[in-house]
Amino acid sequence: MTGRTVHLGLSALALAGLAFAFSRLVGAHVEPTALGQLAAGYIRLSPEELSVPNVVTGILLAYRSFDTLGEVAVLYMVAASLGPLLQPMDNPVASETPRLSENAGEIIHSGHFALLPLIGVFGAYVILFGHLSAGGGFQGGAIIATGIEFYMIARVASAINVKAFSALESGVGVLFVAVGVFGLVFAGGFLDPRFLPAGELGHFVSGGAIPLVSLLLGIKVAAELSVVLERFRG
Amino acid sequence: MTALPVSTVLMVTGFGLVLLGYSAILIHRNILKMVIGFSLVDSGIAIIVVALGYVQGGTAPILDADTTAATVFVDPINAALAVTAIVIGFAVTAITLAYAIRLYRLHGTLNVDAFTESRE
Repeated sequence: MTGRTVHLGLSALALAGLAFAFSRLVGAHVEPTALGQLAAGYIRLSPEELSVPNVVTGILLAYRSFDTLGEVAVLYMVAASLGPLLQPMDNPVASETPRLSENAGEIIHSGHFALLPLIGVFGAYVILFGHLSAGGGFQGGAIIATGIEFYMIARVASAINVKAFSALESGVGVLFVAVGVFGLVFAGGFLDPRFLPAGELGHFVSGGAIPLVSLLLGIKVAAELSVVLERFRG
Repeated sequence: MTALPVSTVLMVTGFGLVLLGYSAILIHRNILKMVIGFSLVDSGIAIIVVALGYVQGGTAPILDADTTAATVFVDPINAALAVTAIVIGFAVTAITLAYAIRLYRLHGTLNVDAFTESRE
């Protein structure tokens, strides 16, 4: 078929062009030996101003927390738009896929008793220690959502209460914004975490409101991802 | 022979994934394979963003007991941006998969050549 050949030829041409451009980019890149001013500023200020040793968390939850709020808004929009998109249709051509067997199998069923608590504890650890070490609300929330997906696989018949998860998610979202307004009133600006005492660098209770924001973010992300996963389950 | 710099290895991997993703989007006719292509592009771009922030001899931007005045850190902004990129990538994958399910219910196929309404 000629149309297909032309399509493949043009695709190959476009890909070759992209490959050429990418190879030039890689060839021109020189590893820097020092940080730029902005990055160096963040690394200096995050422990000083915020008492947060993990600079990435300091950026995500303090310096650029408005971005983070926008990101959870994107996740919320995804969770909300999947509802109407995946609604059963009036006259589908393809019949609905048959529901899977009610029995997930011995290994998965026994495995989920042993693994779910561990996944939950690990997720909570990643959320709560995000300001001290690698981790944070997004990452921990994703780990907890993995656990919930595992639960859905292990218990095929179980229903996840989408309404409860949505309510939890909205409530936590309101609290998140409330923390932001507290920052606006009692500290330097919207979502400024310094309205709570900074504490000592490296201690569990430190970094002002950052552990609190991290916890809220973790719950919100876990709830949003669970709603998305449940929607796909049909 | 000097070893390749870390950032070069990472960038070649990342750009390779991006190319692989674009070729999947352009060549395959099955929507699910195209969604996998988009997902590959996302992963590749996240790797490139992190690679661009690498500073020679740098460690993760987390202060701990081993940190001294001479410690070199990699760029923390790139790590923060990669988190954003991953979240957006998740959103794109979820929405495209939902559309794929809907198209399958409407037409009974996932082949893009079967969807001709907009061409007629």
